[in-house]
Amino acid sequence: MDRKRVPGPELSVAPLVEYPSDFKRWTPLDEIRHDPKRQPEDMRPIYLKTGLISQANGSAYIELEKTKLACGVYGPRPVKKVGQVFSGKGVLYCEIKFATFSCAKRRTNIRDPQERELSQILSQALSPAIQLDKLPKSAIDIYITVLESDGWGSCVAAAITAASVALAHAGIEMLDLVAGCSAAYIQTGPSISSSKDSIAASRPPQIFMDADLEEEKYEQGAIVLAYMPSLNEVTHVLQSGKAEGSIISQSVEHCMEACNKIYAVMHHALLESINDNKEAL
Amino acid sequence: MPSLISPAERDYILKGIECNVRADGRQRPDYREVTIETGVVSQTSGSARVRIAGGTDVLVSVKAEIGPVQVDPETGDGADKGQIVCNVECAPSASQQFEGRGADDLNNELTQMMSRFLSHNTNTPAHKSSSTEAGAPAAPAGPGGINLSKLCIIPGQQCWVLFVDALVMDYGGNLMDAIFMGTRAAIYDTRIPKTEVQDLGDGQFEFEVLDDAEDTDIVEGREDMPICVTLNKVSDHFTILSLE
Amino acid sequence: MALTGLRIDGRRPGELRKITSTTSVLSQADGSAYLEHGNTKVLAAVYGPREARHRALVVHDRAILNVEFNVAPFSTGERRRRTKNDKRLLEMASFIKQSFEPVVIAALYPRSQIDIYLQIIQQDGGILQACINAATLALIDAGIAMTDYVCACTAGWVEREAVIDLNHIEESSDTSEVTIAMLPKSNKVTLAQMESRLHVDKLEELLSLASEGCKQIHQVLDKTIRDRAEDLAQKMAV
Repeated sequence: MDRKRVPGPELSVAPLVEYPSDFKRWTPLDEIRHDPKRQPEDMRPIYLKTGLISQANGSAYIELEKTKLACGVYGPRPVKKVGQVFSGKGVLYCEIKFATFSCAKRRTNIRDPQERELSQILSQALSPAIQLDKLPKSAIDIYITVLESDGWGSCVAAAITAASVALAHAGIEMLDLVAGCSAAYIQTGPSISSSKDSIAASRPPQIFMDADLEEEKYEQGAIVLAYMPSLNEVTHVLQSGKAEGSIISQSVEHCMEACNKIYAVMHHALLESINDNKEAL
Repeated sequence: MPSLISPAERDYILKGIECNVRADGRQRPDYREVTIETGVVSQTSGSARVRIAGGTDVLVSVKAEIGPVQVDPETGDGADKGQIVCNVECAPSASQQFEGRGADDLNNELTQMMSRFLSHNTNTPAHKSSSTEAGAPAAPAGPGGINLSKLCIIPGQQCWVLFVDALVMDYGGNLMDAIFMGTRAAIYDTRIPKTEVQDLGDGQFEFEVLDDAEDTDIVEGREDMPICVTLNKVSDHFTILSLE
Repeated sequence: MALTGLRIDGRRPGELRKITSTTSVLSQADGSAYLEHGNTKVLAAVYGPREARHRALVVHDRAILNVEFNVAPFSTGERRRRTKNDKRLLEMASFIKQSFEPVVIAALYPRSQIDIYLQIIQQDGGILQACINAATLALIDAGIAMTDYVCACTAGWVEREAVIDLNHIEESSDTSEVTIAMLPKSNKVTLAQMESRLHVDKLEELLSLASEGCKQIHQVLDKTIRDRAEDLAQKMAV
């Protein structure tokens, strides 16, 4: 129960949207992506900027068209909780919050199980890159607010990317930046309408990199990969749905390639922040 | 969970793995002995207890209850589908760290993991969603293998809800493997009462649950359910079913 | 009650349900026990004596007891999840804690904590008695010094007859029910719990019946412990 805010009505109904008569919802039958300009292996253009939140030690803002999130990093700060045992390792605390207006359906202010899980995933994906044993008795806090969500996979991937840039911006020692990338497996082509067709079933699904919400509705499965490009090491794989082993290894390859591209963007954003600082001085 | 071991002991384990001999005499890719028992809790529709030698002990129960179907307002999907609700709980008896709220994070992680495999509905906001593959490659089975449309009683109104509860009673590594084995076994053990639907006309339906313990349905698609194997990377090798 | 004088499940008024128990069932815990009392199934785990979790709770001259009580969501006929701070569960935990406090020789373990974790797997009446009996076994298994066993038993008034060890059906039909926990050697009672109305004249009869039951339960528990000890002794001799 949320006691902090004035609650809305208990039952509400989504407004009926009247689409123009020539409106056609995207389906995988079209054999092109939802955004016709993109090829299956294309990501959306990334806008990444550091230093958005002035109060935080480090911060980053990332935008992949309609996926937008802001990330703030605080710390390292001393753990001062009373009664906590001494820990030789630092603690990485992550919190992802979807803004109430970020999804098609209104999200609540209270943390739901999905947000809690994503927070755990984020902390698992980032902690191999941070040398936590060099920060005894301290804690690092990462707070992420999803302002607009266009697809679940791309949100997680963007959160990983933004958080590691914000960590670097905060000056926290890391082994490497962690880039996150998502992909969805979608069965395309005209023959899928008759699903009993055995030929259709045997056709391998297409791998759509960085799928958006519209495409995600048709996905058979999805993968999110967190990867440290210069060390060539994967820190987290999150796979859902079902797909053949070969498709999965193929999409891991694709994601790693895409992560290398994201890495260049991250690099650029960090360099820019240094240049900005120099100019300010 | 990770108990403190001395550097010498650690070295012994690592060197052993290098030579393909593990602390308990197994080779690297060897499984520990697994015991599965079904039908352990009589008040459930199906249950199983999985024990992996060396400690892990998980009890999984399946309870079938009748509930309203959940329809996605946007796509109208889900009207003819039953539901699976997963829940994992780590008892404090398994490890001292699970005391009080200590297990909440792990519970949540495992619960979400299970629901992602079995009902694939964590991607959309929790507990409001129906399966996301709207009419797409309308494969008969959901991602977890279970045929959800067979769990529907009256389309658009009532369906069976399978509550899958896993209780971790003892922890000795490979929790996920044990939970999945247990879930598969418990679903195999599950019997759902047959129902009889009557058409009252005007789109009105009524149904009756047949109270015959002999004549029950199995969960369709149970042979397609996923199982899970955890690999641990120790230096440059992989080991299966490691102890912590 | 039928004319034959037998109860719903075919028992006589003074007859207990079948009790099976094993100890040392868990690998992580210092002591553990699994107890089936008819269809009621309970798992108990004991950790400690160990360093107290919270400094504030430490008592300098004895150990503190901590009881946590959990109910599996599938344990009842209808599935129901209970939160950790359900008042009912906390009350049960405090009952169990109070009944063990006078028996555990806490002065032997100063500045430490003993944790008892109870998990109900299936319930069919008599949860409290099953929990106390399972906890006794787990405490003994953990090697914690106690002055005596603690054996618990319920007795109730079902259709004008005093019966012991009520099952779920007997419990739910508005019966007055007493649970007592006693130390079989000294005949002392450490817990007596009753939540319903009962004429004072009838209380005596119920109490004596329940204490009879406790003695029978003591024999079962004692056998489990002795068998286990014998088993261990044999293994050590080899």
